[in-house]
Amino acid sequence: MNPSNRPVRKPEFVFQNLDNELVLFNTESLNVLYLNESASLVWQLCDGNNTIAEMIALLADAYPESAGAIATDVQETLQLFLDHHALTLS
Amino acid sequence: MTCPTRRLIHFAGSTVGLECTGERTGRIADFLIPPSALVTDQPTHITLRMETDEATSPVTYCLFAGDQQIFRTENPGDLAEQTLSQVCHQLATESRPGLLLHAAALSDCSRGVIIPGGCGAGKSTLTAWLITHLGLVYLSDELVYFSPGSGTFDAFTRPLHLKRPSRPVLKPFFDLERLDEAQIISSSFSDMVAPRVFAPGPNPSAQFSPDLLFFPHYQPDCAPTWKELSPAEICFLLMQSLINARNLPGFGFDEAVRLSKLGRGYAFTYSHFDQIENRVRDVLGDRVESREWRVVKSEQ
Repeated sequence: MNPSNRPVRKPEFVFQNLDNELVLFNTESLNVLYLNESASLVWQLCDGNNTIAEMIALLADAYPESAGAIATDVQETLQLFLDHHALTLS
Repeated sequence: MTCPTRRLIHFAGSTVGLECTGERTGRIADFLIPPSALVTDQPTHITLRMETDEATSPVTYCLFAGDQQIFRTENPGDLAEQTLSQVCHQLATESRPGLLLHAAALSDCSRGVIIPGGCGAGKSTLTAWLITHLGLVYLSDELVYFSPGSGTFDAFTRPLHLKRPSRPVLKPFFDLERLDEAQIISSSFSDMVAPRVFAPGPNPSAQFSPDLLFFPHYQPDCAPTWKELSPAEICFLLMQSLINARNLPGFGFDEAVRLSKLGRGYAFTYSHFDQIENRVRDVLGDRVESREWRVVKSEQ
């Protein structure tokens, strides 16, 4: 994963927001994923417009008290999405 | 003894036929699907047929799905178990248009408790404990159906199916060895207990709201855990227990989201009922009755 990569959600994944947490559903494999509030923020930024570096910067601005951990958290979350074939990197 | 030639089992928008020939298989059919339960005039999508081969010694039991023989055994308990499993599987195959969950269900009056989960999660054992120790009413240990847009569920009431390791776990609450042959059929690996053993009996046409959802995980020698779930976590776990997603508009996802907001959900891990009893009593609240559970004597 490169900081200049732009993560894009795969179209077969649909999602529902429930109290700021997300449930992702893969309409091809029928697999389901639960995302807590933090992972949900990362998912919503994966629209193809943001690089990974920009996502980290945006979240660090929004949550300065957690800024030190955000880079690692974002990369681990993106890796989780990749492991579940939920993303492509452009 | 009644010896049915044909039963029509209608549940969750699906209908399965069950036929049998002879007294031996008739007894099994009566046990699995009592003559008064879940009958319909809806067309079937498949008929299961139990037969015996009396020419062999010992007698051989066969199960057919349509014209195809799918099971053969010398153990009538194994035939009962396989038939029960096939009835549920075939009901699920054509079930629509609502959500069909792999879940146990209990009630007190109009409120329901459902226990979604896959095989081995401990649904049936927990269900037996909730009936015999806390006085809840048995509805199902396998299938729960929500009609589209509904806030209530139907449950497929079938014999409670307990895997053999449940016997010692349940013995302080429910001693299966006290039951007579009209109340229990045992297979090589499990026991099936007739719903009428539990008092009071369920009303097959009743519908209940999903007031509480339990997601148990039985694990020997573990430290207990208990967690109240968010609606997203409930939705995630409901989708994992959804059996008929491929038959539903949008794979039932929108309906699962709606249902996840109807009740409170709890996930827990336990190795002994003592570890969860106080928590379960707390969330059941005034539902827990102090009545003593009793085994109904079989009808003569």
